[in-house]
Amino acid sequence: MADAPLAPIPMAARARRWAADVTEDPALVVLAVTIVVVFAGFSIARPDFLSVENVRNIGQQTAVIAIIAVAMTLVILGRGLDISPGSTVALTGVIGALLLQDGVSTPLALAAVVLAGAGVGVVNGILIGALGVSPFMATLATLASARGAALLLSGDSGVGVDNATIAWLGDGRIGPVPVSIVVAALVVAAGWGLLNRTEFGRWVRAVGGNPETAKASLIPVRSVTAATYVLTGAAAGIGAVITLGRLGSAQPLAGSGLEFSAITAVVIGGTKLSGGEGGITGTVLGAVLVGVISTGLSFLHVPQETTYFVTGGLILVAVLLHRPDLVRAARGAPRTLAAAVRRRRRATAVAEGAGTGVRTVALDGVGKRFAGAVAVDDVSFTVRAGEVVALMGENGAGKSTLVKMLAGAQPPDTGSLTIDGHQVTLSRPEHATHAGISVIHQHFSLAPDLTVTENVFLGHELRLLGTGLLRRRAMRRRTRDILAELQIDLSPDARVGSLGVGQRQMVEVAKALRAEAWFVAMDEPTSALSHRERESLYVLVRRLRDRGIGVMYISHRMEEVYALASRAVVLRDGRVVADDVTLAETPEPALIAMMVGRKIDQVFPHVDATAGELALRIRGLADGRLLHEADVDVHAGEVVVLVGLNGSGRSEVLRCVAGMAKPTAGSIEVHGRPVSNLTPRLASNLGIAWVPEDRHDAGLVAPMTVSANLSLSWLRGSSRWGLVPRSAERDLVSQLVARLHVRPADPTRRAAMLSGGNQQKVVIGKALATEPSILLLDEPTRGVDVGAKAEIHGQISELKQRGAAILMVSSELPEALNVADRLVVLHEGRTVAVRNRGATEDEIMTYAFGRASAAT
Amino acid sequence: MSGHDTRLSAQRLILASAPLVLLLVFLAVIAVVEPRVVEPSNLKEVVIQASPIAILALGAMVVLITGGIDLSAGFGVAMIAVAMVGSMGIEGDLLHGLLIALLFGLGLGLVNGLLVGVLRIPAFIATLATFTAVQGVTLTRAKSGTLIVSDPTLLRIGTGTVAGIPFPIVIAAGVALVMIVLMRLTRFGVRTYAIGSGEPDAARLSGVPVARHLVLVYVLAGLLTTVTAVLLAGRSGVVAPNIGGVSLLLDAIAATVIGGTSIFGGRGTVWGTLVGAIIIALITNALRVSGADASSLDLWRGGIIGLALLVDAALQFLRRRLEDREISLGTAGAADDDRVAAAA
Repeated sequence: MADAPLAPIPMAARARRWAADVTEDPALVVLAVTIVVVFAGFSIARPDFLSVENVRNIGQQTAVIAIIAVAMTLVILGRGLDISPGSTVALTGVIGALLLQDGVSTPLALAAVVLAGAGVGVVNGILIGALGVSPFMATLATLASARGAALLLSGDSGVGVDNATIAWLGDGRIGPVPVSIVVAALVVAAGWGLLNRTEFGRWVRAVGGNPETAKASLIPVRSVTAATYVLTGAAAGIGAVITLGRLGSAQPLAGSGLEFSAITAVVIGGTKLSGGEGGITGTVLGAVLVGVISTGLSFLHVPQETTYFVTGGLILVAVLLHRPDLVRAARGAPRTLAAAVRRRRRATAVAEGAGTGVRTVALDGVGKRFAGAVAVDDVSFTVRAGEVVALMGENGAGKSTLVKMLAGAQPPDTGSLTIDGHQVTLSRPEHATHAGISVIHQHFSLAPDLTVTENVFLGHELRLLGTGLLRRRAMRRRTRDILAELQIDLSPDARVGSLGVGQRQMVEVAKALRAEAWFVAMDEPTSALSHRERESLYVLVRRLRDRGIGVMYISHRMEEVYALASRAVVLRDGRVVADDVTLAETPEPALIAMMVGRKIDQVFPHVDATAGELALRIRGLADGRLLHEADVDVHAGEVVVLVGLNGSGRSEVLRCVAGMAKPTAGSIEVHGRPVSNLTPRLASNLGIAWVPEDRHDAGLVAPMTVSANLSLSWLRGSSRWGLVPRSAERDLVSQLVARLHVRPADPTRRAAMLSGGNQQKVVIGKALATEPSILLLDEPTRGVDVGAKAEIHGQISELKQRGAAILMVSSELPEALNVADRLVVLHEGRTVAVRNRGATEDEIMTYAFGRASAAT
Repeated sequence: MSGHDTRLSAQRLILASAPLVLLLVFLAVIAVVEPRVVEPSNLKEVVIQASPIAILALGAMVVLITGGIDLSAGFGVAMIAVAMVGSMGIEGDLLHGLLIALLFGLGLGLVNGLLVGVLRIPAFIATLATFTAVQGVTLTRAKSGTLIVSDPTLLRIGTGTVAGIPFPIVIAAGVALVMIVLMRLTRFGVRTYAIGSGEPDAARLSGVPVARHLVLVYVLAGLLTTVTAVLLAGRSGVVAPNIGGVSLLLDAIAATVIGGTSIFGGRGTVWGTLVGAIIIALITNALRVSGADASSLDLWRGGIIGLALLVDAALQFLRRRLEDREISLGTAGAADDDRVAAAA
């Protein structure tokens, strides 16, 4: 694992790397070839197409579009959109022409033009970046305003420009090359440099690729967004200068449709509208292709309208080609269509095949793997109508996976689902609903703007025979009856958006009843509810049971499991440990023991280290939701693990310390100093680094390379004059890749292509790069294979020995028990126990379930 | 509890009637600054001018509610008008013309719907492509430049009256009525609001055929574009390829945003859009009467949209605050006179 300094890179390798840098993407080669082919095609049709004069012409036509498109690339990379550049060209051109008429000196007038353009960009930037207005609408407003201002200032007609410099810029030549092309080339080079060599360029990609991650990686998201619009405005100013030179006057209607040509060029060049993916090279190629096509078409004297059609079609083709899902679908279309028809027929058969007697839902040998890790294996159990069965197990035991299968959201890999003894295939949510299964997830499927009645009947509205007219009164009546039956205290006309979480859950239950479900699965329904709401839900569940509905209830709360359910099914590590536990005959400790007892076949490394000063002191932390009163101490050189059930507030503690969430009460002291109003930037300055729970949510920017991801947070403190220190970055990256054993050891790979375990290593590496004194790790080995786990823990040990204070959240007890120097148990947002190394699983879980009075 | 109830519902009422309040404010200000505008004969002219804007805006509203955008609507008007009048020729067969108009309008809507709903191309790009194509189609049909409307019925539609009320207003009112029924009383309406509503999966998970529905939405927009085109053709008497265009699109979108349709999707009422259209027409008219440059209208339009956006953002913020307060008070959920007698 020795980190040898890099050997000097041979010329050939350097050349290859540069070529790879510039091309960025094999698809661009295809685009380049297309341009050549199209050009050749036109030349064959009209031989004089292939002439220096014509190429020059194409270049000049394309120049202004290319200049705007370069800046537009930055905007779109940042997940934005700008439709105002064309009008900005007109406006700034008019301003420049008027200034020149007034006798202002040429350089001053030119500066004014570009600055005016930037000014329009500032307006856009404020509206979009600071106020959060939709980019389309904001730039629509500036488009109209700029156009109007141009018309007003110019008095509705062209303003003549009689200036040698400007004429030269627009029409002149440097040798054989038109000046406009030179200017465009300069802008392209500057844009490329900005995007690929500066910190700012990285930021733009990060903001577009994953704004949440960008924020967590200390990037000033709003400023970056605003800056992209300012640059576009300035680029429009430059374009205006060239246009002035070419036309010899400022036309208030100039630049009409320019932005759309620019957007076309960007889209064709491969930059995705969803942000984070693309580059300048592609944009330039796209602009050239559009230029060649429009020039060629006019050469062939093709009517103007055909050019419109071709351009429109080009945009569509470009978008569609970059959609792998559509390409695949198009290829497999006939097959998938047939399969879909078959599935629909089978689903209806199920619904009609309901037999007599007690209805049952059974899982039989069900198994499922996710990316190599087993989620559930050989799971079999049955639930009957009229009973409440509790599905129990630790976090990650496989419960949610089973629920998703019942909901028709995920098919099992092995085994089968059986309803009333008939095997069924639930490949879409509708199939489950048809079969009489209703699942109440933790994320709701309710439309906030609609009323309770409308939501209850959404998708299954009652209509007046023959027409589309709603039978509102009938639906309202039925909803009211259902609500009454379940004794839910809600008005059928209440807007769901104004209802609290608990009330929304009840609406979901009402929806299930409307669908005449006879089997309802509830996935941790009370985790976000207040005490009062929980009581109401218990009553509801009992009513469902009394109505003869079968309920599968997933919960951690012992009291409610014992109160509601008659039977329990216990899962451990994806397998059924016991499928017929009669709760009345099983005391709690025995139930807990079933969930946790296991062979420890993994040894996690533990290194003894002497704990140093108190690095982090948290007292009474609350965040207004899940966190109520957490106390945690972490010393330098020790690992403290937060354990507890889902929803006990562990992640929230970390988020507060990382500056990603605001605490509503309590205190945090870092290295002895109290801190408040933490932001990610402040936290980082204090030496804190954070690895989030969900790497896809705030950890990784998927479209960026491994290298860019690793250096993202580090960049903020290491860039000089805004430039990316490339060799320092390369050293850092290769060290981290080696240290963490990232596989494949290729930093130029896109992060999206790595396996989960390696992606996790990248996120951890990003945190390590800033050499933190306090490391916050939220489930660092979740979804990671055994080998990677060991490697990650090795790193954690090493850091600990170097004196870092480590606060970790883990749902895997063996890991927690082995790695921790101390364990802090949270229960419902409060610290209930602090135990030293050596505590037992049973002890910890008992505290986690809130079953023991904690005398710390 | 009931005290809170009434205060919250009063706040809701104020938010809902914001467009109307804005209209009254504008009328008051204009009455002082330029009294000629508020003369009854001029006001009638304003409402007539608002009619095509309103109809197009209603189409834009439905699309915006689903969270999409239809860029092709403005030029679509030109395409349809040109195609219709062009096909009518000198003999002027109105029925034939209307059929052609419907063909083009519904066709445009269908293409948009398939691109956005089925192929799931972002609405902006899809309608940008159709917007470009529409310009091409318009050119193919308007080779001879400006076309003259010669059919007397069509001209009557544009300039005549029915029981003293100008036809355009009648048509706009009729369209508005149909839209109210559609959005409030049919399942099309409920589902449209559901698709654009906060939770993106709510409609799909509940079994709404989203792709098919979106196609219908854009076809409806295409239908309304057709009605606008017919009205404008009848009213102007001549059809140039630049009839409608970007300015009309801007007016329509501004009207919907002012009228309360959030650009974030989900909300939007027919009444609000109508009021928004009247506000736009009123401002344009006031500017013209007071002698403002015709070319500066775009500047005003831009400013109005900008203002409408700020107001929309502010309203969004207030609505969310209102919602949080309602949730924490738990008032909205209580059924007062519908209270069910609690049985143990």
